[in-house]
Amino acid sequence: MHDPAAAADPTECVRLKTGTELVPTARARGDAVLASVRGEIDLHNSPELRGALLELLNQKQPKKLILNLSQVPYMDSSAIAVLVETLQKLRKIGGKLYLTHLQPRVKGLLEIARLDTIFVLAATDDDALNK
Amino acid sequence: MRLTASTTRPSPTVAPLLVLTLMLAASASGCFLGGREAPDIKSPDPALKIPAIKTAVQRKDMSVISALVKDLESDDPAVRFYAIHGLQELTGETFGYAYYTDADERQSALRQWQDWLSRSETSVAGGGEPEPMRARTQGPSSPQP
Amino acid sequence: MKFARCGAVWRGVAETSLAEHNTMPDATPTKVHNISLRIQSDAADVPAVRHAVESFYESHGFDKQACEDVGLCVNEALANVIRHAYKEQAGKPIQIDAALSTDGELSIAIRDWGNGVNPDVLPPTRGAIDPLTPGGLGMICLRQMMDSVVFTPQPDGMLLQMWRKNRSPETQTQQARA
Repeated sequence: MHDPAAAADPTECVRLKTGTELVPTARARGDAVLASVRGEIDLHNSPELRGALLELLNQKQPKKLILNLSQVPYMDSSAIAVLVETLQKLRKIGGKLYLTHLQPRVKGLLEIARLDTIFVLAATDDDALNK
Repeated sequence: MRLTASTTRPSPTVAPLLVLTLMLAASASGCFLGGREAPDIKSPDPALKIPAIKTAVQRKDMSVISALVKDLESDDPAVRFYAIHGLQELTGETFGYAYYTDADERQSALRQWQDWLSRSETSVAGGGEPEPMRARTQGPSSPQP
Repeated sequence: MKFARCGAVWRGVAETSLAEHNTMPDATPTKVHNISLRIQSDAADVPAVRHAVESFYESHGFDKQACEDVGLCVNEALANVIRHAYKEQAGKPIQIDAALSTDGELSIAIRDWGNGVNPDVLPPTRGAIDPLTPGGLGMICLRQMMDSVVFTPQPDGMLLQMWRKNRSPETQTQQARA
């Protein structure tokens, strides 16, 4: 199965468990965690995404959480709220949230809500690692 | 889930009283019916406040600034959203205010807005020039992530 | 449903489908296309409604961006009904009507038979884990993407109506980001 996160990090250090197909892969590299998100995220499954992201923070307390959204064609406000909450928790531990490979519809929603500047947006996972 | 599709033409009959009511309502700002009030920036109801904020900002109505600074304290994130972006459009400033953060995190920026407003109102009351407002084209500061 | 046209915008107190509405005297009746859907209050069924509404407007010539915006608005409105009107209870009815007038204005009506709560005036949840509070960001999306949003309490629930005029791509971007 193609793993977008692996393409950016072929020498991953630690594979992390997520417990959900919404986040099919996650790995730690230094003080960064790279994870892929897959599928449409809305009211029905955003709680599952929330649980997975909070679990990643509990496991690693990363300084960088990089979410590859190349396989996310749609998010609604409940999904965005999960990202905002994840960002808030990361900030408390001095971390930052990076979003990569945003599809236009998702980026547009962030812009509508004036939340596009609160995350660090990057074209690729490598760009996010190097920021 | 049932799905139906149809193409219909409307009935041509309208009660005269309803017509009069609608015409009176149409002449009022916002065209609200069914007993709803007109948009009002001071209303506690976001459904009335938010359209009023949008209209005031479009008209560059600086007299609403005081009300918008008050709305930065709202518990409703939608009200806070429109208040800060109204203030940004009218003054060019944000003082780093982020509508999506919790109350504690908004405090510092909120105090800066309240201080700025006090200075602006004091300057005008004393006969001096109002606090200079940065032009929109100079690029306002963005909320800190 | 009793509607009247105030300028380019429809207003009224609605109890049934958008398909039935009245015109001002001497006005030319407007041909309307519409679809009606009825679902149970299950978040898993919301995507199907969103896709149906998007497809409906796409089939009538709305551009992709507009269809996606309207689809999101329907999604947000239904989420609010499930969360607030029905307090996450399953099996409750929600009626969705989507219509299009020949002058290119779309209109959506969503009717629930819940507790009559208007998400616009919900008291906030203190100390909520979600910093944007339920409904908050959804309401922002509705107000940014639709020209008008009106909640009309019903004797047994709530009616939400939303309108959006057909926009050129340039004005869409300007208005959505204003």
